[in-house]
Amino acid sequence: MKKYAFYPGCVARGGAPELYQSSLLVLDKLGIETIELDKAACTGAGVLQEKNQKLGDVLNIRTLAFAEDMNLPIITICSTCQGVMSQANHRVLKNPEYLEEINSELREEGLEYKGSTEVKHLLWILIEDIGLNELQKTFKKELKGFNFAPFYGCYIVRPSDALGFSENPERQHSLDMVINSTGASVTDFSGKTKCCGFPILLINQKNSLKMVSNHTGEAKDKGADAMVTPCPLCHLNLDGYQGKARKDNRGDKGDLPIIHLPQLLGLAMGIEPYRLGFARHIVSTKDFISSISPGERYSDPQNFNVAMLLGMIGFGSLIFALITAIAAFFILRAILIYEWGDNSFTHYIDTCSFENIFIIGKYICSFLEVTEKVWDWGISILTSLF
Amino acid sequence: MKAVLDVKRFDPENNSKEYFQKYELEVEESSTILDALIKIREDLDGTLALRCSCRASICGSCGMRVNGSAKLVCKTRLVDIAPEGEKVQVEPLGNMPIIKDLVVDMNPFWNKVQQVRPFMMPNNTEPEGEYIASNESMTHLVDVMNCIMCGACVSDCTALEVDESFIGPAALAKAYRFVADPRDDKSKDRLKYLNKNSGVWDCTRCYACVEVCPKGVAPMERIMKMRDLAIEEGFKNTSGYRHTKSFVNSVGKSGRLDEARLALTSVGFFNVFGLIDLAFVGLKALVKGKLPPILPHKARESENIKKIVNKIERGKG
Amino acid sequence: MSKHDLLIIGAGLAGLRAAVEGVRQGLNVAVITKVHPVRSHSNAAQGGINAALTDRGDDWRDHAFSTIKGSDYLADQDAVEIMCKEAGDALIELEHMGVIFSRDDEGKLGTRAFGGQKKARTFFVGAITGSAMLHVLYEQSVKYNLSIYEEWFVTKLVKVDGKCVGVIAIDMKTGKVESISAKSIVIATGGAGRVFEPSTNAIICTGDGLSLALRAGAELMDTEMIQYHPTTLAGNGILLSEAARGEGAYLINSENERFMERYAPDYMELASRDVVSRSEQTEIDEGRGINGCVLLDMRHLGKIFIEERLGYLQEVATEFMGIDLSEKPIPIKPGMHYIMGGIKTDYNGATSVPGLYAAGECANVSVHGANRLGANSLLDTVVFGRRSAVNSVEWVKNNEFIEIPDEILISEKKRFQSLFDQPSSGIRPGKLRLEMAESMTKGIGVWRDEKSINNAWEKVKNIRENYNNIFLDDKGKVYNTDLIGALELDFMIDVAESICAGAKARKESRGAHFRTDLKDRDDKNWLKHTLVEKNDEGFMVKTSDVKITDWEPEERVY
Repeated sequence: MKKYAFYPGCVARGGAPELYQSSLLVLDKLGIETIELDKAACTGAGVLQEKNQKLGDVLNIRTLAFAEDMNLPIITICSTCQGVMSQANHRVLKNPEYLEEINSELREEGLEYKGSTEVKHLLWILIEDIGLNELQKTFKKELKGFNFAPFYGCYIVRPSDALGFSENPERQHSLDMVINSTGASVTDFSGKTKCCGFPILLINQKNSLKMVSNHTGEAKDKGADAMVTPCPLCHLNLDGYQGKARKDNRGDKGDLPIIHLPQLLGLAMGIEPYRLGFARHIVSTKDFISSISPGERYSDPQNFNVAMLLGMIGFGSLIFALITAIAAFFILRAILIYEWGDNSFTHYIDTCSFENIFIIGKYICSFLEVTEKVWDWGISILTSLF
Repeated sequence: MKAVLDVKRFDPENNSKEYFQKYELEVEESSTILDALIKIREDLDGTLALRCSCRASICGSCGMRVNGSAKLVCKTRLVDIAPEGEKVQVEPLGNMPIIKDLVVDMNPFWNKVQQVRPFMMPNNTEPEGEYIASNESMTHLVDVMNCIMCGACVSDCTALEVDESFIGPAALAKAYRFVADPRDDKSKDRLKYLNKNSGVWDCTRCYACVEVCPKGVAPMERIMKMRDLAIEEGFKNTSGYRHTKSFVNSVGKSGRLDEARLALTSVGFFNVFGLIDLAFVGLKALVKGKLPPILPHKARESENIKKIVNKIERGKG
Repeated sequence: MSKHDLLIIGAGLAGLRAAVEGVRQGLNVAVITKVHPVRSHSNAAQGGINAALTDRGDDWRDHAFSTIKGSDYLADQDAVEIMCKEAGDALIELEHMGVIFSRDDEGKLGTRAFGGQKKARTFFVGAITGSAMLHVLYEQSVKYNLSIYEEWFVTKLVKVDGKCVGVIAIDMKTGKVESISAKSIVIATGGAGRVFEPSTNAIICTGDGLSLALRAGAELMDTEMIQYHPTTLAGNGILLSEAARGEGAYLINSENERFMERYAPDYMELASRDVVSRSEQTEIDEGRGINGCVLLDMRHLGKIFIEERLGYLQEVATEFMGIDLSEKPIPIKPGMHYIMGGIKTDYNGATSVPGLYAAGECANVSVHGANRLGANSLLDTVVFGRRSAVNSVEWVKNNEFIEIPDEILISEKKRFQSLFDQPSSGIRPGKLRLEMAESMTKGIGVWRDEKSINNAWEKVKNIRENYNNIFLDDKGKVYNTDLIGALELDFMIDVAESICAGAKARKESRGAHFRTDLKDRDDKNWLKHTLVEKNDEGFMVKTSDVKITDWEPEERVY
């Protein structure tokens, strides 16, 4: 039995819980034993690194050091986590002085990284540690006739020198290889190693959605039944925003299911679709699933979820109402300012931010604080409820 | 050895459609793709148009797409890319209009370069001799001066592909060369300009430019550096800044990323339209059981992470 | 028809420097260039730029003497004095424009050693000095909003009443042929390496300016002086900078011996280029080479040092040869690199044709004489580029625009059409060029003699006849590189013949011109420049005296 230190990543434990649940099922079928690195921090996803590369590297090397202590390689299920950790590892291995600098930060916690941890995405493990032949032995269902468009996610293909492509050249085509091994066909399309748009979703939504639309649209046009991705961040954007993206940019419907790599494996292994979390997609996977596994149970309305959902809808509306109230107040203020001042109203809305508030007045700032307080307060209540 | 090149052709005067033409020829073992293309032009087909000059990866003329990704063909050897004599696909650079065959119109590229005011703007008191500056403060800029303006990064930039107003990796790297030059007096003005729409924050961090750059310029890393410098100069009124800050806060708080908080703070608490938009997506996710936007998960012993974040972020200034 | 006070042909360092100066002097300046400015071959200068800075305790006279001795006393010493005196200011000006020179511990500009000079006075940017300078001058051209005819190919200089009044040029992107009128013209088209094969030069270095000037009645001077660079890659001829040896690399032969000990015991690897190239060729000829090469050994410099100071060399060695310079010596041999000869100008850049100036590699001031020192070419471009523009101001003020007669434009168009109309049974221009270039390398090599020179010349004459039989595949207008290639070949044939004429005329060995049938320098008869003119009878050679100021010719030992 193969054993790994498991680094699921924030999104698998957050916005894409179906990835986490399907991964556990698939890892079990593959005979992989895992110990979750629950003390590990977020990798920073490149965002932290742009602000402070050293901070990002310390956090990631810390994670690698945990695994080194356990004498285990790390398994990831997220292209972004994989790439960011590989890069950090690559940087410190290249430069022993830098490693020492990082280690000096870690010693407080009693950690030291010597440089021996291997970080591998599930995708690579399938090919390098398990082997496609062995993998195929776990498959119960032939997916012949289905077309899957591979979507790698930037960080698992670039920068290639940090990802060990020269030693393991098959990594460049790993997702194509795995899809083929299920008996399904690969839909080749130009966007498969391009950016999904997620990193700028909250910065320049228009551009981000154009990317979503281009990729899903092209794959759909080329006959894909679904898109498979080893990156939950790509999934969030391609799935969560596909409807709006396609409508805005192509004028059609966002109807291409975006499935996680473990979900594809799970389907091939014959795991019931409801256990793989297919109901938790924004773009409906219902038709797709019923064409693969007709008549099988699809959704998983567990009581816990329902209760949670209700609780959260309630809480969500509360927060929303609050924010709306603040916003309304603010709009009023802005209109007043517009009448008196020389700023245009729309310009004012556009440029308004946390910092500008100080210019308007301290009291608005206190509203913000209240919002944050209520937020944290609500969370603690909810946590205690469940 | 045998070389098989599948070259994208386009002749605006005859057939306005793009098509691929296959050339087979004998080349020497050490031949580069450029050697093969020149041989085609000189021996087989004089109508093939391409730009090339120095043959030694310093003039930047021969940027082209080889098997889908941008390269300088003068430093790409055939044996490395097609050891068994496989077919090699050669296309003009992307994100720029084609003039003919492998020749693209680089005007959009140069316009972007000119947009960032690519020349030194020292203060008014020039020294009599040279500027005194430490070797360290200058030599790292040589890595950026390595840029030969071949356009490979712009060709494969995924942000430019969807938004041609984006300044783009080459011009931004050029801008960095002045922002970080101790002799330049206008760093702050430059950062102010680059902080606006289509500037440093529109980069998607996809690493395409880093990957294809034949000279190791790593434009994306320069862009990231400028984001940080812009924040340090006090340009904080951007979603990008809020996004980054919130990310750091979230990791500092719980050791993990809290997507919901990140989304809210990036959009800005007072960006009503943005919030309404976000609320719809959020509700959809809630209905589908994409659980914890509200219930953030924490890393075990997250105090340790908090300590690290505080120490290193503060240590930085 | 567009009009400019000053029109500069070529956008390399000399051209851009002249242009920037022209704008500063208040002239209406335009640059016309067959490639975008930053594609120019100035890029390929790697090692650095020489300057004797007085605040470093250096003396321009010392620099001047090294230059003159390097030139084997063929340089005009008044011109050398000007260049060496102005070097400091030129360098500081470049630094102020933004060039990121390497620095020393005090934060001042740092230097490295270079060939033919005892003192380290070469200022540099890694191994990309030319590129770094060219990009900065391009930046300045953006700053000054310079008008640039980008990717326009000049086919003819127009002369009216004996004065140079404009050019005929093809806009390569559209194929349109137009005339551009100018009161004064600076030719800054660089070298002519493509006349030889292999060469370190770029594919664009076709000597267009040399031929344009020759056809306009200007004289070419010392054309036989062809520099063979000691360290070029076998096969493709790509350059490995002299900076390698400046930083301490060794030259070794197949017996692992630092053979320069026998040829230049004092200067060793840093003797001047003609001496090192001949030494290498002797080793190879006498059987101590390896596959026609000797080795450049940098292993003792260490990986970090190499990557920091000679990064581009490491890149070239790994990408083109698969050799890590810190682990293995690299095979190199002498390769055609630079033409010391060129359009004869005075030290203000003026040629013998009124209104026509020249600067940079295509010009011959003469500061390089029979052999150029490394890192003097960049200096030459900025100093004389600037001077040519300054000097043209007076001419521009005192002269009016002269219309270019339509007949000239029409006859040029006819010339191109006749190329298109050739029957397809002929020869492709590329093939013809290769034939010519290979025979030039054979005839006018590191060694040469009467017979080899005659053979080369015969071959070139033969090529000129065959040129009438070339044909073009591409009959289109847009970006027709086939047509441009044919026109370049037409220019190159002129240049090749001039080189042969000069080589045949000079009956001695001096600097780069080493005749195995006349091995000695002959100061009594040949302390002279050769001047080549083209007229109806062919290529005629005259001579003129070398200007000597303070430095009387001595025996040249390194």
